[in-house]
Amino acid sequence: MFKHNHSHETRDNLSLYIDHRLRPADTLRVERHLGTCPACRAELESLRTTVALLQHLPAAELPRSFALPATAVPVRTRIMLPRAAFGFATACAALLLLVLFGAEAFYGGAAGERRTTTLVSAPASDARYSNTAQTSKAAGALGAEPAAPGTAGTLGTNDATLPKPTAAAASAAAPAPAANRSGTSEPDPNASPMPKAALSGGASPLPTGALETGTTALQQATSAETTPTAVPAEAQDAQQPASLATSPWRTAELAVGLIALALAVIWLVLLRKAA
Amino acid sequence: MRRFSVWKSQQETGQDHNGPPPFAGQVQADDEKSLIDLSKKGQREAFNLLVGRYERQVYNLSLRMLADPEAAADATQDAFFSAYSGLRGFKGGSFRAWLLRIATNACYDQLRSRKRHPSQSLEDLLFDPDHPIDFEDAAERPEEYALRQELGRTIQNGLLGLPPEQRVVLILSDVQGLSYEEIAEVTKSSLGTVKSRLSRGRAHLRDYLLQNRELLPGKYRP
Repeated sequence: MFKHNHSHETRDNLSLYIDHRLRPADTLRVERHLGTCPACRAELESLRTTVALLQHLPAAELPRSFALPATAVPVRTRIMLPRAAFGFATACAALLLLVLFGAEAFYGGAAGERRTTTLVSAPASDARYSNTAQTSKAAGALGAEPAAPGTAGTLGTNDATLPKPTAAAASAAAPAPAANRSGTSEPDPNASPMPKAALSGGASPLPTGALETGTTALQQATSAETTPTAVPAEAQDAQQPASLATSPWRTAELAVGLIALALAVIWLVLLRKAA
Repeated sequence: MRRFSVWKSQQETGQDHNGPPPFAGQVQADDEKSLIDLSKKGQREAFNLLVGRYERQVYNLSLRMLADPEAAADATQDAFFSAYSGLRGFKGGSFRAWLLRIATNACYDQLRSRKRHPSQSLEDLLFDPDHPIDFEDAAERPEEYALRQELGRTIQNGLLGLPPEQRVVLILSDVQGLSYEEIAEVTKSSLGTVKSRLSRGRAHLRDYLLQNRELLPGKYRP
């Protein structure tokens, strides 16, 4: 058996020499070596004989003609789409999936912030309605009808509608002085409305003390209702996970992910068949 | 084994397919490019002229790859049907290399099918001396003919022992005389890979022949 070592020509070089595929300089070197190395000469001769045997192998006779018959219509037994098309489609689906993830992170986050803002401000609007109810309650405690929006100016025009201070108003106004630091004189709950000098337009004097009491009560009700509580936030948190699970982003991502997976599997199968 | 339904029905009726079927139209073009262009337009007669030029080479490649005449015939027929169906995919260059590439793939399909459903042993694949496949030369003496048949069997056995990728390169180069570049095009591999596979394939076949030199006729023993 021919042994290869650094002093002999390689088998590859001898094979190329047989086919006259060596560069001229390498050809000269091999021929010079063959002149001095019997082992390489024997190796070359055995390879040449093998090649000659193959070249003289007779051609087999055809068993029949392989010409296509007149009525034969080649039926494709499988889908002959190019492999590259499936590879390209897989890449596009993967890219689309990345775009969806990015879009969800960008637009979904902004939408989440808007939801948070909406849920946080809802109690304030509710408080306004609550304040109205509280106003009604306070006004009722004061013994007068609640002031409808836009009708505040009418309070001073009709003495009969003016609320009269009562004992209940006195107790409700008790903490009011602490909140009312505007420098106005503290109302005297027991003071009856005193007619004052006519204001411009002939308006009757307003019972400022009762109004301030009602205003203070309104302020207390408003502050109590607008303070963010844990309950709305918890309700908000409880709602968000449910909305994310059914978001259209997730549905689209799932659909595109499944399509990309199917395309990748088909592409790999076609690659394996071609190998 | 793929079969086109109409082709099979014609076989069952015993229609003769030993020679090229007659065609009605007049095919004027003779050069290969014209035949290819006409074939792309659907002229089956033009394609059959191409079949006539290359069927022997394709069949011999398949036979040396598979060592089974029936499997080789199937692979050859499949190769030409695939070539006719996919002719639009031929964008130029060596039509022979393109066609042999299809034939090589058809042979690989047969080999894979054989692996999945091994129904024949290597001995079954040996050429039957009572039914030789090589042509008989009238000028050849009987003993020379017998020697040649025996030589063919021994070499075929040696080829069967090679890996398919070495086997196909050896057949294309030393049996069919293709250049390195054309072999690279057929096998979709680099020139270096072709050289390496050819070198290893020759050495392995040489080693097989040396180990079984008693099977070789006297004058062929290396």
